[in-house]
Amino acid sequence: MDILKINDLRTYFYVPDGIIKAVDGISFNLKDGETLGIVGESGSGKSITALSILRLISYPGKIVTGEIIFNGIDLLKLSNEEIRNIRGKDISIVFQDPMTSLNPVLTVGKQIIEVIKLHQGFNKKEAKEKAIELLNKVGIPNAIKRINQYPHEFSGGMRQRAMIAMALACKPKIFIADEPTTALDVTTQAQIINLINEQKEELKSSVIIITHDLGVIAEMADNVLIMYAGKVMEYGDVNTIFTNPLHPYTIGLLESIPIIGKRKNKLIPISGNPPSMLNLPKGCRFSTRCRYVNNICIEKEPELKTVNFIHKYACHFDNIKGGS
Amino acid sequence: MLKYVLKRLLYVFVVLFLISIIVFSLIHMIPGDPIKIMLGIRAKPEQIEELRKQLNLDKPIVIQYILWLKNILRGDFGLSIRSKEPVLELILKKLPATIILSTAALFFSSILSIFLGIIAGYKRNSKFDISVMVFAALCVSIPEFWLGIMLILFFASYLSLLPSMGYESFLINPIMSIKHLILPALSAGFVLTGHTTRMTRSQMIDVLNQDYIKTARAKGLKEQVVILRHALKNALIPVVTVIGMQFGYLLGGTVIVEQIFAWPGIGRLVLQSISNRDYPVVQGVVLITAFLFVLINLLVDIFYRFLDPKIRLE
Amino acid sequence: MMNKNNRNIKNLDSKKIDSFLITSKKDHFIEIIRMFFNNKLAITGGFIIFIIILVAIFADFIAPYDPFLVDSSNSLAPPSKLHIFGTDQFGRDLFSRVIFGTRISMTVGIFSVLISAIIGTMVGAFAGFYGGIVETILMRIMDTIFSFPTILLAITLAAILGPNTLNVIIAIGIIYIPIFARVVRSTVLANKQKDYVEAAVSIGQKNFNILFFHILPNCISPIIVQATVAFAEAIIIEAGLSFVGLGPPPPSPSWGRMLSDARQYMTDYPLLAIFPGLAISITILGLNLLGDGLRDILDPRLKSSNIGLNYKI
Repeated sequence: MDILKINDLRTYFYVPDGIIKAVDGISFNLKDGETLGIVGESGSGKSITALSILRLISYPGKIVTGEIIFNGIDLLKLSNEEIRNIRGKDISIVFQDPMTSLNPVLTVGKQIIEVIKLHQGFNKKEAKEKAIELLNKVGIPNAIKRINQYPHEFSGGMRQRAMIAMALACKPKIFIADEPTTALDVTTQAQIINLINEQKEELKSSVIIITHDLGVIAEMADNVLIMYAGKVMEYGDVNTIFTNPLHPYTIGLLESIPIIGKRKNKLIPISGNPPSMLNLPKGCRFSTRCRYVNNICIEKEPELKTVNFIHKYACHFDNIKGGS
Repeated sequence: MLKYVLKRLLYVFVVLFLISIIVFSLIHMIPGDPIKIMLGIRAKPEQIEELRKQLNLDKPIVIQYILWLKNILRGDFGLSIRSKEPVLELILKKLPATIILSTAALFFSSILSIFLGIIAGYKRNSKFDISVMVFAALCVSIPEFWLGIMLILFFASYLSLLPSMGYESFLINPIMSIKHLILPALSAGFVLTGHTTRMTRSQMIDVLNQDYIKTARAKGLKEQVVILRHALKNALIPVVTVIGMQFGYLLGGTVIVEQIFAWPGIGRLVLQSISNRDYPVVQGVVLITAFLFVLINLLVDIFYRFLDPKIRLE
Repeated sequence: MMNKNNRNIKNLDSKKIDSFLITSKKDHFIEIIRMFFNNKLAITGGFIIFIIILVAIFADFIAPYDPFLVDSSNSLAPPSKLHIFGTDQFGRDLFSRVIFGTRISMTVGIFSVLISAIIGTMVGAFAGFYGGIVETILMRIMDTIFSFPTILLAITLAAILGPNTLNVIIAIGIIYIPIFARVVRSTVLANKQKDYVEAAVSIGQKNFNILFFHILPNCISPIIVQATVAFAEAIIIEAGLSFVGLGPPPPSPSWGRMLSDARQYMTDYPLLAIFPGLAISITILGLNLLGDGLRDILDPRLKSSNIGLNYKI
C-alpha cells in the first residue's frame, strides 16, 4: 500500500542568473512501513525533494508542477492551513545540522512542548511530561534537567536526538531524515541510525532517509532512489542496487567507495564535477562524467526503463558493464 | 560572567584614565596663552596671574594633571569663568534636559525603525522593502541640522502648529512640554532611524535564513508564531544593543539640535561656553559626556551578555 | 557498444583547468570593474560623486558669478534668469556659492579621509600584526578617541585649534582614525592565520614585507568601503561645524555656514536654506549609494580573495 506517491515533481528556483531546476521531474512511491533511501551528491536535489513534500519551499523557489499524494490527498492542492496541519504531525522532518536547526534562544523543552501543544492540544503541564518522556525514549539521560537547558548545552549527538524526539512527538506516519548523520562523528552516527530504526518499528511509520553515505543506506534502507542533477538515475531494492547496479552513476558510486565486508581491487573515483544547475547538458545529465558516454547520451535524455517490475534506471544502454 | 564584568571594569578604568588625560590636555592645545584668551583683551595683568594661579597653570604639567585629577575625583570641576558657578553644578542643572531629548529621540526612532525593519526584512525585495530601503538611505543622507531648520520652517513658521524653540517642564505644562519636544526629538533621532532600520532589516533577513526557522515551519507552526516566537528574539538582540549605545552617543551628540531649538541642555551649554571661551565648562562637559558614553556602553555590553543564552551561562 | 573514448568532452575539462591557473591582479581588477558597472547602486552613487567632483574642479567655469561678489542693492532676490537660485542677504549669487561650496566639502572630505585612512591603517596593521603590548596600547588609545561622541569632539577640537579649513581637516582626520584602525586590525588578524602567510614565512620572507605586500592588499576592500562612509560623515561634520561657526570663516561659501546665515531670513526667503541643504543631502546620498554598492561588490570578494600569492589553491 503506497502511503506516498510522487508524480513528476518539479521545483525550480528563479535567481537573477537564470532558473535552477533543482528537482526536474521526479516520480517515486513510498510504501507503508518501508524505509526509502534517497542517495545523491550535494546539489542532486534530494533535500529539495524532501522540502517540497512538506511545501517548505520559499522565494525564490517554487514547486512548478507535479503531484504529491499522501493517503489519497494531493498535498500540493491543500490550503496553507491544511498543510500546516500535516507538518510535524502526519509527516515530519529532521534536518542535517542539529547545531543550527534548534533555536539558540529557546530551551529545548520549549521547542518540543511547542509541537506537542500545537498538534495534540495538551495543556502546559501534560505537554511537559510528554516531552520528558520523549527525551527519555530517545536516550537522553537526565531528561528532567535537560528539558530546561538550551541547545548549546547539548552535545551534537544529543541535539540530534532531541530533534528526532521533536519530529516523532506526534507519531508521524512519514518521518523524513535529511542527512541525519552527516554532521556527527562515526560512533554517534551508529547510535542515531539505531535510534531511527527502533523508533520506526515502534511507531510503525514509514521513513525516507536522505544521505550521500552508502553505508547508511546499507544499514537502513529497504529501497533506494538514486538522484543526480535533479533527476532519478536509478531505483530498486537495496540488495539489487548493491549487487546489480545498472546505471553508470550508481556503478561509479559503488566503485568509488569502500564498503566494509566487500572485497575490491581498486577504488575508482568518478571524474569531474556535477554540472551547473543553470546550464544543464542537453542530453543525459550524467553524460559529462560518464565513463561509458556515447554520442546518443549527449544528444538525447534517456527515459526511465523498468527491469524486473521494480528495478528502474535511466540510461540509453542496457547492462552497460556487461557489454564491455 | 562575574569574571567578565570585572575584566571589563578594569578596561573601563584604563579608558577613563586615558580620557582624562586627553580632556586635561585640551586646554594646553590652545594656540597662544589660554588664560589671555579666556579673559579677553581687556584683562589686566593681575587678573591674568590670578587666574593662572587658580587654574594651577603655573606649575609643571604633571603636577597640574595630578591636581586637576584630584579635584575631578572630589567633584570639583572648577568654576565657570563667566558665571563663577561651580562647573559640575552647572552641568548637572542642564543634563536632565539633554537626557529628556535623547530619550525621546531614541524612543521614536527605535519604535519606527524596528517596526519598519522587521516587515521589510520579512517581505524582502517587495515594494514595501524597497521603499523602506530608500527611506533609510534618505534618513542617513539628510543632515539633522538641515532637517531641524526645515521642520521649524514648516511646522512652526508656516503651520504655526509647534513652537520653534525653547523648553517647557512636563510638570508645569505637559501639553506644551510635549509640543516643545516633538521637533527637536524628530531631528535628533532622524539619522539614527536610518541606521537602526537597516540593521533590523538585515538581522531579520539573516535570521529568517537560519535552519531553526525552517524547523519551526516544518513543525506546522503558523507563520505569525514563527516570526514572533522564533525569529524576533534572535533578530532583536543585537539591535537592542546598538540602540543602547546610540543613547550614549546622543547624550553628547545633540549639540547642534539643541542649538537650533534653543534647548537648554549640555550641548547648548558647550557651544555657549566655547563662544565665551569658558574652557573649564567645555572641559567639564566633554569629560562627563565621554564618561557617560563609556559607562553606558559597559552597561549595554553586560546586558547583551545577559540576553543571549549562549553567553549568559558561561 | 562501449566507447571508452572521452575525447569529445575534453573541452569541458580544460575550462576547469583554467580556474587553477594564475589569476593575475589584472584579471581581478577587470572583474571588479565589470561588477561595478553591473551594480545599480554603485553606478548611481559613483555618477553623482563624479559630477560633484567635476563641479568642484571646474567651479570657476561653471559658476556664473564670483561667489564673493557683494551686491547690496540686489540682496535676497528671488530666483530669476540672472540668478538661478536667487541671491543671499549680501546680494551674492546663491547658485555660484553653492557651486563653490563643493570645493570646500570635497577638499575637507578627501583630505580628512586621507589622514584618517593612512594613520588608521598603519595603527591597525601594526596592532593586528604584532599583537601583544603594541596592540593593547594602540587599541586602547583608539578606544579612547572613540569614546567621545564625534560631533562633540569635532567641535571641541575645532574650537581649540581655531576655525579654519585646515583645522577642520585635522580635527575630522583625527576623529576617524579609530574606525580605520579597527577595520584594518580585524582584517589583518583574519588574514594572519591564512595559509599563504605561513607559506611566505616559511620561505624566509621578512615580517614587514609579509605585512605590506601580502596582507595589506587584502585590506584594500574594507578600507575603501570605510573610506566612503568616512567621507560622507566628514562632509556632514564640516557642515555642522560651519553651521555653529567653527568652520571655514566667512565669506567662505561653506554649505553649513550658508544654512546658518539663512536662518534669520528663511521664513520669508526659504530658498536660502533649501538649496545648500539639498546640496549637502545629494552629496551624502551619492556617497552612501556608492558605499553600499561598493560593499556589495567588494565584501563577498573579501572572503575569497587571495591576492597575496598569485595563484588560487
